[in-house]
Amino acid sequence: MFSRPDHEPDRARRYSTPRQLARIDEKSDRNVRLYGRQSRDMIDARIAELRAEWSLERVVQLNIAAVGLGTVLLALTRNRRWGLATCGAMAFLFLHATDGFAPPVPVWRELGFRSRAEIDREIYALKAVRGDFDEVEPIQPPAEEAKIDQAGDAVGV
Amino acid sequence: MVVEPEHLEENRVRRHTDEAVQASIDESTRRNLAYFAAQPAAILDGRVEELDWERDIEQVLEMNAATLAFAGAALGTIVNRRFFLLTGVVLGFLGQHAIKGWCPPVPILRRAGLRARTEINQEKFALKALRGDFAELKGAADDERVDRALAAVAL
Repeated sequence: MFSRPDHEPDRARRYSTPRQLARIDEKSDRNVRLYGRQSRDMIDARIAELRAEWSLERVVQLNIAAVGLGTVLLALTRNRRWGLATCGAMAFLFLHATDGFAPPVPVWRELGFRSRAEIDREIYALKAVRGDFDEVEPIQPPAEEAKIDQAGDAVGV
Repeated sequence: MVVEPEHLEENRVRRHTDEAVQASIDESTRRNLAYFAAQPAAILDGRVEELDWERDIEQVLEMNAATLAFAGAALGTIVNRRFFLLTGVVLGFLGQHAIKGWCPPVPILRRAGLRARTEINQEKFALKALRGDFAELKGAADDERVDRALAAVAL
């Protein structure tokens, strides 16, 4: 069901279906192409908009806090056993923090909520188009590396 | 001139960080840049990848809130109902954090040097720029700039 690559640092991307990932990435690339060709003011406005975009993390925190508060209120007023539902919600919050999964995650992903890393990727693409990195001179590889290569060549590795 | 939204999502933790603590976090990012930029390419590449795996402040806050609220709910169910209040307070703060970017553990975690994802990405993309990932954009024709920028930040 999920793409679940073993080497995915972004927890949001671990538990998204391949279709959701493709849709989210394509939309992001399309937006860079769209806004990247606009005037500088439009790019600035788009970057400000992206900086204010609600990330998945925030939505999941609010979501699980609401579920937890609701069930704990029921535990206090109706039946103590509602506390077990709160425990379940908190177990999923912990799982979300460490591994990335929580039951609402695929639903929020379907609705298009992105991780901060995904949003930042779009921001930095637009910053690059805007020319923010034009002044940065790439560093030269340290001289030592050439010496190491020479040494390697000398011993035949 | 663009008016910046008041509640920038990416700034929500930074807004609530003590100035001196914020300065020391930014300073350590800058020190990292100086250090890794002087390393051989393989180590710089490794650092860029490692940053994606760095644990950010949101993750730690969630683990912390989940642990406390779980303990409260379990004790509330088994021992005494009053423990449910602990869960209520912790989750109230978690909800507040989601909206405003502040809850009691934030100052402690910031002092411990935990960065927000956006701050980790500042270091990542600065290193990518130093590595020359964005060098292709220089002098490129306008319609090529977008494609080259996308290539530079490719997944």
